[in-house]
Amino acid sequence: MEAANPPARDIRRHLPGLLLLLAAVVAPWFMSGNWINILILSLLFVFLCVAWNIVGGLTGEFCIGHSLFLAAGAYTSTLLYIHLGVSPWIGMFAGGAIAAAIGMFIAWLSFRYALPHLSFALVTIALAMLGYLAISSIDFLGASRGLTLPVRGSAWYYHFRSDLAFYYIILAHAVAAVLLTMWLYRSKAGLYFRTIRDNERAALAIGVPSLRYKMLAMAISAFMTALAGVFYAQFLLYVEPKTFAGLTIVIEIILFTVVGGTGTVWGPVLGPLLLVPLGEVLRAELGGTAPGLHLFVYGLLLIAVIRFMPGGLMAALSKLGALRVRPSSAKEA
Amino acid sequence: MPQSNLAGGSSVPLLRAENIDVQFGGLKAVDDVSLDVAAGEIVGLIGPNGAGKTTLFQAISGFVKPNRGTVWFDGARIDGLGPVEICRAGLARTFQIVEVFPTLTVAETLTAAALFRVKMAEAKKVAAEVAHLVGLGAKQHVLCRHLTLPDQKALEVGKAIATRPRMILLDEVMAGLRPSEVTTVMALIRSLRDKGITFLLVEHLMEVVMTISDRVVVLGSGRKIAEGRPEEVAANQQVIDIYLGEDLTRA
Ligand SMILES: Nc1ncnc2c1ncn2[C@@H]1O[C@H](COP(=O)(O)OP(=O)(O)OP(=O)(O)O)[C@@H](O)[C@H]1O
Ligand SMILES: [Mg+2]
Repeated sequence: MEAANPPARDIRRHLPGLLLLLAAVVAPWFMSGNWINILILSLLFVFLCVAWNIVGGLTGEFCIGHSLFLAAGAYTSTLLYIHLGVSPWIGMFAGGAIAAAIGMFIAWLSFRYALPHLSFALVTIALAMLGYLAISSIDFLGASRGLTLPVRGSAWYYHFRSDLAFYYIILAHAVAAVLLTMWLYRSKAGLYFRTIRDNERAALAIGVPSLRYKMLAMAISAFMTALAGVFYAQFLLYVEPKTFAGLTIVIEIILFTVVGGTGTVWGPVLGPLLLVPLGEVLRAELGGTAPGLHLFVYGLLLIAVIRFMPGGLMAALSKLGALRVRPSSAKEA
Repeated sequence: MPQSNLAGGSSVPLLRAENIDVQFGGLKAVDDVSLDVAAGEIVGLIGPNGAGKTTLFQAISGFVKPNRGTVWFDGARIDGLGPVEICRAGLARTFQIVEVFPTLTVAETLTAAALFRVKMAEAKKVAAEVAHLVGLGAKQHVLCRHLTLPDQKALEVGKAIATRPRMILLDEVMAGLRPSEVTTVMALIRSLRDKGITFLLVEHLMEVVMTISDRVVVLGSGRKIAEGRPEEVAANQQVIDIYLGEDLTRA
């Protein structure tokens, strides 16, 4: 078993991940400002996708309500900052806690009566739209105009002159999220998540309290998504409903994750790393003549993946033997 | 036979179901059924297709709420509890139609089953032990969806054992197995009984039920129609009538 793995094999197993990390650390040194911005956006989506994957992939609950958590993070930290002068470094935990509470409540509401699978997606989409409407009409939240963050210009207030600092902050978020998933995957909670995803009846029969663990998965995922919201708000210095509470970003998160490989550790990393730059390049090159073309390309890619490589890029790669789908020592019989 | 005794000397059954009704729309799948299983017993539950055996298991294990009746396990009322609480109280079950975790390995499945009692490191040990016990020792790292049906049936039993139960409800775990495999499973059940696990088992193979059971309960159209030692039940005219026309040793 894994304890018997010689260290050399462990290193080889983690080699692709380590190389990717190394590349991410040195990448901005070789890049122009515009590309650093694209990379920041890519890593933001890596973080968001890894977070969504804990609910949508590991636990198998198709949540479309993650815009609520993004907004909870962004708006909480921004309001605390504007009105009370609280640093977003502190405000992000408040935002995370609120998002986690909302997430647990939604899970409890949707799952306590063991409603069918699809209804969770519908409940979360409805709540997300409700959230969007509420935020767009409440004056205290800036309504549809949004809120502009005052610049205090210091690291203590989560503000940096150079994009490089933002780059390394979101990289740290993404790395931490991947490490958390790897650990979670083999932990008791992760194993329980996967039993629920695979077969809930069988999970109940071996004593897995599925409601509690679905709530836990939502709490973790929502907390992380809120942190992404705080980061994005600080990066843009601006919060408004379309970006932070609209469904577009959730659809992008799900699309990137599905293309990368839902339920795997590396799928939600690969998906956005490939698709966000692709989308940005398309937008830059063809945005004038064919706006929205990147969305069309995303759609085509999604259809191609579902049709030709169910399981996403990770499944296709693992078939090639280049990488493993799962970090455990599972073999296909 | 080991039996738990309460003060006063009267023996209390490990499992007691009283006057259980389960209604599906207009159909009474289980109709006023009562049964006791003493600690350490192996009780066979038989009856023709559709008699309500699986439904009775569903009611006892908390997957279906009985419309009437009470269930006691280990001195506590368990009707009204959910399947998770009942499993955690020490009453495990298998599914007639196997319920596997397709993307989990055998080892992961058994580890998950052991995890509510012990920590991860210990759970992995339990998983390895149980895998060997049910004959899946060499397949611990195989994904469940790649197992053959007999292996999935073995895993079904393994999952129940790995929860370290006091009692297991077995629902046709030997159906579809080869004779040699049936013998192995029977030996396993006996050895687990010797370790103190109590069994209530549904099986269509009459030879198996009659040899392994201390007592047999017969259901017909949702009602209990006979109960007793295997040879008594086999001689019961009502039972013979019910099984007339059906192959008693359907394999
Ligand atoms: N969920 C359900 N909804 C409606 N009817 C059901 C349900 N489950 C079982 N039944 C019906 O209840 C009756 C008893 O079924 P049950 O599965 O308990 O029988 P059984 O004794 O286990 O039969 P078998 O030997 O074929 O496994 C059958 O008529 C069956 O069609
Ligand atoms: Mg049945």
